[in-house]
Amino acid sequence: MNPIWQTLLAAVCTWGFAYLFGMRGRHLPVCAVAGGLVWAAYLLAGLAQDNYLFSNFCAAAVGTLIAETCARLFQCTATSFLVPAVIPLIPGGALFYTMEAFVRGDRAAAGEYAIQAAAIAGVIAVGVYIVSSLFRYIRPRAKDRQTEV
Amino acid sequence: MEWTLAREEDALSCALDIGEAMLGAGAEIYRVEDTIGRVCRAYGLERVDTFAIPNTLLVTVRAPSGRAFTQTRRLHESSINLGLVNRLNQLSRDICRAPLPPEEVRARLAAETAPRRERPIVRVLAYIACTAGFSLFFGSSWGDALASACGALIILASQTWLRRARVNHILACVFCAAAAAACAFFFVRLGVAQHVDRIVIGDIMLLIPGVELTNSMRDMMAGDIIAALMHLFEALFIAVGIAVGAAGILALLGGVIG
Repeated sequence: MNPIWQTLLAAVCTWGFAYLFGMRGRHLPVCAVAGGLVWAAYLLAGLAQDNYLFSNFCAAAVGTLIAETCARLFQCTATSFLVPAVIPLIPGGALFYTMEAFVRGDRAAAGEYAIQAAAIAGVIAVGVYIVSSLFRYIRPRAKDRQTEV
Repeated sequence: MEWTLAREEDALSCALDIGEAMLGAGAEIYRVEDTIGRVCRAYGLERVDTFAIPNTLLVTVRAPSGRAFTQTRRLHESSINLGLVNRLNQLSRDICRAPLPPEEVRARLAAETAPRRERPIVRVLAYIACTAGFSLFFGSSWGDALASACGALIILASQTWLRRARVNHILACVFCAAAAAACAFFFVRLGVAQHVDRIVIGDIMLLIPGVELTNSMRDMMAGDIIAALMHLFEALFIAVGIAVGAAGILALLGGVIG
């Protein structure tokens, strides 16, 4: 599949989710761009090393970087940018194939897919965790201390 | 500003109103506790002890007069609204800068939490963007995307109806997943679409508990293990509900098309 087309689709999906999660106004296009960049990071990481866990980790790290930066720029919570931005990484496919394999009675494949889904969720968590911990050391200006995290 | 006893109690309940609205909009536990603490201290209340889990708030403060107040809140339903969390965060920052009178805070809170007028068409477009976008993202054909979009409309209609009927959230997910899977199945049978799997993946993206899972991770990092486990189990139950709904209907309708 054309990577540019897929990245655009990732941005469109992120826009949709950002809207459903209550983001409005100028934050919406920001979320969409962040989602696109996350997917671009996923694809680029895949070029460097052909391992979906590595790609997910890099993409989650980039997403957190963008979300934390936007939070400081817009005086908003980082989570509100992070949640829509990592939407393209959510292992919906693995989840579906787990269920589908179960219905087929193929326990081995179901286990395989379930582990894959859990592993993806795990590396996304690690990617988010590492970058957001680094950001805690960047202190905001005293007058807007509350913007942190 | 002079604070009498009644005002102290009022200030605490004001802080809880903000905390309750934040928690209900899907804010993380540490943010809710932090906000309540800051607002209380801005009002001159000393020593603030907060305890929050996703459906309960418990705050005790000691007032300058020496009296201690405790108030609790129990939340029964929440709906994710990250934009509202941002606006409430801004409100609490404003209070910290210059304590507003509680009446004014209540007025602003009511204005922020009031349902906003918006065109329903945008919501429909967002549902379609999420589902059709995702099935194309997973490499489906345009026919599949159309089936996904129809599934999204069915999910939107059922969610609206189920919410009005006060159906349990997990049961609602089971129903929505089943309806979307049935829609995908019929589209493939009619020959309009080709891949049941890609259509359903697009549709269930709407139901996947992404915010619960993310919040669970962030609560875990902040050390709020109880809240993290509550969110995690909620996410797991919803995921199983989606699987049961979608798989059940596909099996019923004549086997899974791989």
